[in-house]
Parts: sequence; C-alpha cells; structure tokens
Amino acid sequence: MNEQQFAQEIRKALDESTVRLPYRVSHRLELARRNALAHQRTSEVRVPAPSGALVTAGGPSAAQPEHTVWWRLGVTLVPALVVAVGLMAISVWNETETADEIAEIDTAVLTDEVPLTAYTDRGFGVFLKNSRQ
Amino acid sequence: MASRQELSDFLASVERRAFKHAVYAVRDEDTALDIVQDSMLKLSERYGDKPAAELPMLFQRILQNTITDHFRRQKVRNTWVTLFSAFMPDDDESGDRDPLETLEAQEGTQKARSAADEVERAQIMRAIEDEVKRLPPRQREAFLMRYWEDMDVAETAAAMGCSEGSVKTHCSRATHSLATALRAKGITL
Repeated sequence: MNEQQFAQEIRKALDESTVRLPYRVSHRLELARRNALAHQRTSEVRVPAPSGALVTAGGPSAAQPEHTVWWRLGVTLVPALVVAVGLMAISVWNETETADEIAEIDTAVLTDEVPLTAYTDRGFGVFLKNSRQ
Repeated sequence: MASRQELSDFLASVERRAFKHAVYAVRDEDTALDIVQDSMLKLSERYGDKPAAELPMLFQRILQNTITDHFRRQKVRNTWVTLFSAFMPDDDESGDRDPLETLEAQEGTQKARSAADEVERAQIMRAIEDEVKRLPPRQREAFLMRYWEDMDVAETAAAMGCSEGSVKTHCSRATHSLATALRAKGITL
C-alpha cells in the first residue's frame, strides 16, 4: 500500500469519526457558525461625514468596530494618564515642601541672635545642655 | 466576494473536521470548540468579503494560528498557576465527584452492522485518532491539511508558512509513523 492509498484509508476513518460527534458538539458548532455568519464582513465604501463619524454601505452597525477600538483605547489610556499626572503632581509638591522646610530652618538659623559658629563650639553645647536642666 | 450562503456552506462543510483538528492538537473538546468558534468568527469578520475559493486556505491558517495562540496563553497561565498553586486549597479533598458524570452516552447506532462489528470499528477509529494525536504537531498539520482537507502541496505550504519541500517531508514522515504505529497495534487498513 503506497502513501496515497494509506492516507485515503486514514481519511475514511477520520471522516467516519466526524459523523459520530455528540449532539452537544454538533449543536455548539452550529451556533458558532450562525454567530460567525452574523458578523460577516461585507465590502464597504467609507465616506467621511461632517460630524467625524463614518457612514458605511453596511449600515450604522458597520461603523461600530472603528468606534469600539477608539473607545477601548480611550478607556485604557485615560486612567493611565490620570495616574501618571497625579504621580508627577505628588512628586513636585513633595519637593516643594522639602525645599520650604529647609529654607525655614536656614532662615531661623541665619536670623538668630546667636552666631552660626556658636553651634559648632563644644562649650556652647554644654552651656545649652546645662541651662535646659 | 463570498455570499452569505457560500460562507455558510463552507463553514458547514469544514466545521466538524476543524473541530477534530483542534481536538487532536489540544486534546480537550470544550477548548477545541472555543478554538473553532473563534476561528469561524475571525474568518467571517476579517475575510468574509474574500472570494469563496480563498476561504479554505484562509480558514486553515486562522485555525492553526488560533491553536498556537491557545498554547501560548496556556504557557503564560501555567506559569502563574505554578507560582500561586502553593496558596490554593486542594479541591480533590471533598471526594464527592461521581465518575458516572463524566461518561457520555453512545449514539449513532447503525442497524446494518452487528454490535461486535460496531465495537471493533469504533476501536479501530479510536486507535487511529490516538495515533494522529501522537504525531508531532507540524507533521499532523501537514498530513491533515494535505489528505483530509484536500489541499495541494502549495496551499498547505502557504497555510503552514513553510516550504513545499517541508510539507512533503512532514507528510511522508507522518504517514510512515502512522503506518508503523498501527501495524504495531495489529491494525491493517
């Protein structure tokens, strides 16, 4: 038996196996076929409308996929952008706060009556410690 | 452009074989049904306006790609399942499964054949299907497209994205493997 004849015999057996499919399977296949046919693509001529929407030969439903793509893109990108802008705002605010705090300390130190070099003097430190007690 | 009737006839003629193709690849009926459903929908949505003559090759290509996508998704899912399996409760502990629930009723009895013939034929078919499932994926694809879908070498090569020489090699090896395996089981065709 050559390759072609053998393949024909296998083919017969496989064909027979497809005839015996359970009802559950054949019913689902039929439903899938109907669903696919309901979504069949038809040749369409796209004409840009003044409002920006698409008018197609397939009727209003034919414009839906285009709309759906933009809608999905918007739904995904807008929250991501909001989060990114929020994070940037928090970062800028945090840096400003830190800078303000440092500036306040610097101002307090520089405007104090005690000179800056006094804080580096060990004797002055001991004096402050003792005076608190 | 394929009319609605032509597309319907094409899908009706190919759906059962497509289901079997998918079952041989993924070895699960429900997953195979999902794959066939997705493939039909993709063909109809994207290529429903193509000539009817182009549909067989397009459908085979979509079917093979959908099967490949399934395996890719399964690989990613398995990685996560493996990572989190240590935290999941074991469902088998309840032990309230009824094995009878998994049995399916026999159907399609043919009065012309005796019960013994029927059983023997069913066993042979099951053995053939088992051996087809065991073939390496590329060999199985080539063999089924070439000999079951009646596609010629060039069409099969285009659908598989390989050379015609590769298709011939895959088919030859698949035939040889099937013949050897069936002979070892004592099955002669």
